[in-house]
Amino acid sequence: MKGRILGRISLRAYSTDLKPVVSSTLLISRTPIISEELTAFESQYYKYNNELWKRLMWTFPKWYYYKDGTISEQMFKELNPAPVFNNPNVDFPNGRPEIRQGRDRRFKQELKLPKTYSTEVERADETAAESSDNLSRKIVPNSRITKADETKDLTSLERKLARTLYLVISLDGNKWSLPNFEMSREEKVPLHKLAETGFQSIGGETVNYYNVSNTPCHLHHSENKKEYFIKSHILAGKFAPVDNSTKFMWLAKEELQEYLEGAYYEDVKHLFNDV
Amino acid sequence: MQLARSFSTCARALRSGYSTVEPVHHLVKINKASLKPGMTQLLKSKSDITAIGFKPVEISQDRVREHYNNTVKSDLMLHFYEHDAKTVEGQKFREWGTDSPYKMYRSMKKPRGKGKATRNIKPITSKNVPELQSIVINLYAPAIAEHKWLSVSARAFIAQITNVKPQLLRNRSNVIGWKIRVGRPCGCKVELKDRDMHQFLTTLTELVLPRIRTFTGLKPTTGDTHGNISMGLTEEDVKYFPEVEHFQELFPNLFGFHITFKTTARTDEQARTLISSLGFPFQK
Repeated sequence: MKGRILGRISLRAYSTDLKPVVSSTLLISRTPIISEELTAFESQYYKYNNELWKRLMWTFPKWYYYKDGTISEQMFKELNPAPVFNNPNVDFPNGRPEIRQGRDRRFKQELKLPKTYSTEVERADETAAESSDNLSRKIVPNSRITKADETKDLTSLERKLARTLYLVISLDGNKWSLPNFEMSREEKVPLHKLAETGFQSIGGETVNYYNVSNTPCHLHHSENKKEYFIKSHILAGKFAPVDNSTKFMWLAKEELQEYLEGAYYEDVKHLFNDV
Repeated sequence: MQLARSFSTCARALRSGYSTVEPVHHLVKINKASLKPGMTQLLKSKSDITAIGFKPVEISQDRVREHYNNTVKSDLMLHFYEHDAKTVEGQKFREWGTDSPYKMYRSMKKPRGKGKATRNIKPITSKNVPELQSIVINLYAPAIAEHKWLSVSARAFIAQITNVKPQLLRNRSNVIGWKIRVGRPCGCKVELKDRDMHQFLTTLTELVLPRIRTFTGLKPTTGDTHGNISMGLTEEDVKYFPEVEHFQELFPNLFGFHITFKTTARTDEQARTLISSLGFPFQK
């Protein structure tokens, strides 16, 4: 395959006779960690369908999960008291209850299940390690907004958890770009190797990354320059620049538009994930 | 009136009751009673709101689908990209040739190799990126063949962990040595799709497999050569499903089962890459 790549003839004519400088850009991204942000319409749509699903659901087979006369059945009964009895001698102005298998069929069945975890008071004496080992512990979701979001720390990998973030660097602190590495005219190396070694040399030594393909995903032409894009994902570790003057940021698509050069961004914007 | 026999070609046309339509001999048995208009309601998909047994499908956000659409799909397309890739022709049924009149109406020659037709392997483009179609769970337990009532436990167990009603399986052959009789229940199967499939997938990769001590990953050689990946879980492994973990007294009889991941990939290598991207570890 490599032979075929080298064997291809570029049809683009350059203004000078000099061979174009080949460079490799590492498009390293942090993939979303949490689920997508929903629009108001989407969340309403899911909520409506969920409620409809619950309304059309069959009656919970209590007799199967909680056998008569067991302690667990007692606990279930305490949490789920029987609905109002359809007394024939009583008039129900809001509609007569339609009781089947201990459920009022006019409404959706709302169940409260006995908790598998102990209450707050009992948990106080449990050590932190014990509680994290306990698989039946109460599941408390973490916040979707992290500390990095609040402090607007653009260098943190823990910002914008629902979005794909891309690494941009700046050598002088003014001009921002994707990490780009030029191929020397004497020594030829494969494009993905060039990007990887270059990335490690500027501070990606401790980063555990996954290279999607050795094939570049895009070619950007500029004045006597050919820029190939190698796509990869960061899996673990942190980007720590070797040179103190090197600045870096992890940015989402719409933020990249602010920092990258206009024409350049227009050419490469399809590579960035909208989510 | 009877016409005298004539040798002209229009004689056939004069004959009454002649049809130019070839008779169709159905290879598939058709239950004509189920084709009557009253049954059309039952032919509708349950996701159709006008169906009698309507069940809403899109009840929540599907994070596996999101992950596939947002991250995995484009990655797979790039990963499988090959310069100047050509379609690899599969083995097909072959003509006998035209050199002899005897070969004219002969049925086609079997494909080369194993004698089975295989599909063409097309280069991966945006239109045929491998995708997980469904997960099939197949439970076969010899104990069920011996004690018929265990089939109820097996189905309840599978329904509990998958949220889908499984189909009862019956033996199709008599093997006296294995105490197998035709028509006796021997297990159950279920095909999971969409949200149920994704829910089962995440339960498996995030809660069950990490807790199985003997599990070291899927075999790197797994696959049926057509892009479907299989794995198995034993009775000891399945107790880690959280749906049965807290109801141990309700499920005293647990059974191991086979899981098959049906994908649109045409080679095993592609299917393994897809399964790996959905969070399944592979052995080295």
